[in-house]
Amino acid sequence: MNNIIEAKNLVKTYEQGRVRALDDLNLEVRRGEFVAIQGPSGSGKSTLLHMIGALDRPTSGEIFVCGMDLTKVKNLDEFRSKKIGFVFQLHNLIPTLTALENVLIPMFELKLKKKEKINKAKELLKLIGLEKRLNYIPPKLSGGERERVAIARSLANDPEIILADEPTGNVDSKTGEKIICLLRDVNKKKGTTLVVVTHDSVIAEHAPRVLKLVDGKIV
Amino acid sequence: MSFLTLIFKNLFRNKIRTLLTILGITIGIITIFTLSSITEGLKKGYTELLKAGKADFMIGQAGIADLMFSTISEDKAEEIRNIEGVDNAVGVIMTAVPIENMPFFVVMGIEKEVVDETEISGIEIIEGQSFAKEAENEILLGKISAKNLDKHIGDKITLAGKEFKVTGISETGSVWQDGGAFLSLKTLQAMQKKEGKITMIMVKKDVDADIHELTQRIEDTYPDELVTIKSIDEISKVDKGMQAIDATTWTISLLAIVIGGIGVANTMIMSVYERTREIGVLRAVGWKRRRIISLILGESFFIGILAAAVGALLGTGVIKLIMLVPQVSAFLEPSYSINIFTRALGVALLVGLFGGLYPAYRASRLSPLEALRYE
Repeated sequence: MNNIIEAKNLVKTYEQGRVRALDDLNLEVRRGEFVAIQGPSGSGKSTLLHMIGALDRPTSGEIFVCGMDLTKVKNLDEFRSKKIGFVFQLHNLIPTLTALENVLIPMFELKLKKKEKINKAKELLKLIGLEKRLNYIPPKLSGGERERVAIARSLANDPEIILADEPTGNVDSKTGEKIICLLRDVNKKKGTTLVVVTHDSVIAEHAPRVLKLVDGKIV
Repeated sequence: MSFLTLIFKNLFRNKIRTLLTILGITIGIITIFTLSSITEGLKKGYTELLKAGKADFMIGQAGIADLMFSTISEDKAEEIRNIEGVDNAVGVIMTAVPIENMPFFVVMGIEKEVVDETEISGIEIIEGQSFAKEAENEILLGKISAKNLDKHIGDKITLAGKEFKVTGISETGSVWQDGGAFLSLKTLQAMQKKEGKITMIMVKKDVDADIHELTQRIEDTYPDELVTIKSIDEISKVDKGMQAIDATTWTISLLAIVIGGIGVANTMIMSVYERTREIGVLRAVGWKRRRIISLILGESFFIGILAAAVGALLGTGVIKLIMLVPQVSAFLEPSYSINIFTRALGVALLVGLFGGLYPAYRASRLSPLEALRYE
């Protein structure tokens, strides 16, 4: 199976069915692909991301990620810690921890030696060009730098998929472009599948494939 | 970065709040620490009294609330001495009188021959000599009281309206005796209007006699009349006050746990609430619920441990301050046994556990979706 993400007739409703966030959605993403999902707010982008990232379960329909049927996986925590890397809209770093320590956070669930973890975190921060900022805490970093640390963190568990939710939502357009380029580089160099949710059309231009989401459906 | 480092860093994000919480528990710990070491000190006082000299056990009146009220007929000492298995038995009268500015001055009436017989009395004369036989106005002063009252051999001292001349300074190792004085048995009996009566009997058994069998036999011979006390654990037979103090200490410990626990719970709930999104992120990057629970419980445990350390330190200081008062140091020698430290630490850890349980549970129920909520 070449599709790393496969959704069939995916439905997610909220408030006892009154709100239909995802409406019979079908989606296929191949391993190593870079896909941007674009749509206005309220179109169901975030909900779709929750489904793919195993943060929430669908109301009905099927969703397979990395070959696993997410409607049947019992331990979603474990699935996430092994397969998924998240980049959030707000960088969501822990303000009292250094860049290096923030990247170490997802590694608590990994069976690696302390030394190996630190080396890996340093390598990731080098990859995103922050090797000189290892011991800076987030308040001492610029918005773009923080977002880059968040990207390094998302790679800490060697995920098969990176899910980015408006990764450029909080930075100016120039920095935004750098970040999207960085994500694209990661996608190319590491072959990690990349799904970016955004309403920003400029960002979407960088993606080889853009899906438009309207009212919970891909159009 | 280890898990412990993370716990530590989290705790000191809001330094003031954490310190105030620690302070809250610390006050409880100081109270427990101080009370416990005073209680232990009192027990130690009794133990020393029991063990002063080489008496194997003592005998008091049955069914009394405080050893000071114990009254036994003088003849009983003679009778006990004749019991098989008893090597020697001597009667003493004991009372506490106020002297100068001291409210609690232990005076023991004892026969001059017994004073000289160190084998059973345990009295060592470190200066001067004992009072003369049946001397009516001579006193043997304990070394602590000699120092506190600044009295030397030949000085006069007034006790319950009667003047005495200091003939010697003694030491037994018992803080009550060293902080008090010895008089002739007859003299103290007369002063107390208790002619022919004694407070307790100090008994030395034959080398090969079995102490349990012997004490049992004595109690069986004098049911409802005499009780034997072999060790501090049996002190409640003649001192109900000690039980009351023990009960009070435990009640206060319990209160401290409850109050401290509420404080910790409040702090941790606030802290979890403030970190909702952050905990969501931890869950989103794959942290299991169990790890979140460990994190929050770890933080509240750490508050407890810090409070125990600070509490023990300050508690020691408070006791040192109390001991500066001569009236107290005359009858109390605080005890810093490992027991007390263990109790303080135990209480602090319980506070951490109680206070952390609910917040940890709350944190573990947070959805990873919280990380992606942007309002």
